[in-house]
Amino acid sequence: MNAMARILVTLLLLVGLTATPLFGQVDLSTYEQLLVLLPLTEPDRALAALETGLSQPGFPATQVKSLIELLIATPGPNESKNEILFLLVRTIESGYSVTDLLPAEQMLTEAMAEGLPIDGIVLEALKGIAQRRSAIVIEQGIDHRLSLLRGVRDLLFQKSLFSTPEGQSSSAAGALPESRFNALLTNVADTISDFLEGGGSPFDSTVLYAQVEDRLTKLSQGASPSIPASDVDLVLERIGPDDLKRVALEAVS
Amino acid sequence: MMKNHDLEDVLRDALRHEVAQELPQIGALEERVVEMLGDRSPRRGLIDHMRQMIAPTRGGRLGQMVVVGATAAAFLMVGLFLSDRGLPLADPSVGASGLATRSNQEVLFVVPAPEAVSVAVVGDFSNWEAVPLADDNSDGIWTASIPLSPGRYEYAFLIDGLWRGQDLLADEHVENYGQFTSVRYVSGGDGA
Repeated sequence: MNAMARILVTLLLLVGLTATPLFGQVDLSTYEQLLVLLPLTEPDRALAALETGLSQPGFPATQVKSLIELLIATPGPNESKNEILFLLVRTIESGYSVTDLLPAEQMLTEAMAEGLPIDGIVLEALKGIAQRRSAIVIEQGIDHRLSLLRGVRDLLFQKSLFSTPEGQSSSAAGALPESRFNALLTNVADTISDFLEGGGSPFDSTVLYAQVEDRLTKLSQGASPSIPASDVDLVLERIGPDDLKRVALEAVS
Repeated sequence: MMKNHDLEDVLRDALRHEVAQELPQIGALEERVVEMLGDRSPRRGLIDHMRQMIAPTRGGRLGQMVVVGATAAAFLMVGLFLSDRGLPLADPSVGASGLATRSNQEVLFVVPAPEAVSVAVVGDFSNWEAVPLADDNSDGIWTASIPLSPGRYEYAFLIDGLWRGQDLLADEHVENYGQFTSVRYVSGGDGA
């Protein structure tokens, strides 16, 4: 399924990149026609940003069109698609080079196609823009966090923790509804990212484990309906400091 | 029992008075607030008592610098004190930082910035876009109340465009991109 999604995304990207020159220039109406196909919360703002982009020299109009087409065609939650396009909007509004950040947005779209919960990573990128970090730092941050997200997802799978579609029950102890699984995945990965970015060493795995435990416990105590205490107990029983160390080491290597 | 918004009023009033007097003396504010809370006198009396205690002495720039840190420390001390005593923060619907979180999930963001021209909060709740804080009384205390659903929120203040990520009212701090960011946990109230 994931491999199929990746192939589909790659094909769409290739078609988008090669077809546009054959069929003419990209203008605002091109974007307008595409944006109606996306579930955007602020379509007018997106269009205004794209209009600004088109007026700038070197704006990669064709690649942006391809990204929007990719978002339309890629299976994934509407919220995630909205977030990725919002990142593009903020990139333009904040005066960043769209060319520099477009690869990161494509990475996020591919991760969404894999079924990864990418919204938290988009927010980290938006934070980077708010902090006026360089495009390369933001892109590296996205890449790093996506690696961790995949690493933690694989770890949870290894520990027989997996997601099931919402509303579909399973008798397996490690089967969690998708929203709960994604909440655990996101928060474990995010805690490791914060730990490493804050200067923590993967070899301080006991400290790292304590931080994961602390965050999950706080969230389970009323701050997140998606993380019940039983899920926290389950994940803390099945993963240990050494597991986190391995994931963190893979992310920094 | 003193409620959160009463406590905010007391602190705001005291700080406003300090600022009006060119911030003369606030170093021991936390002790005075703690002392007052132990007194349990009615709210109006507390304010009067507070005003009486904070008598104007000498002003100056140094005092202004001191007050910013001392004010934040005062908020922190009161938060710690209340957490320890199980006073207003005992309400499970209140966030982990408690002091600035009301039961309706209206989360209060407060930052003392007497000389600032503009103050905003940015956070994941706003897609890291600036939400302006107001200082309607020109007392140097900037506030904004933002309704938030239960969750974990990262944020920072922008004071005249400069990032300030270490809010002392935060539940914790994280460091990303080489800068700190504050974190608050907002509870849903049922403890589930």
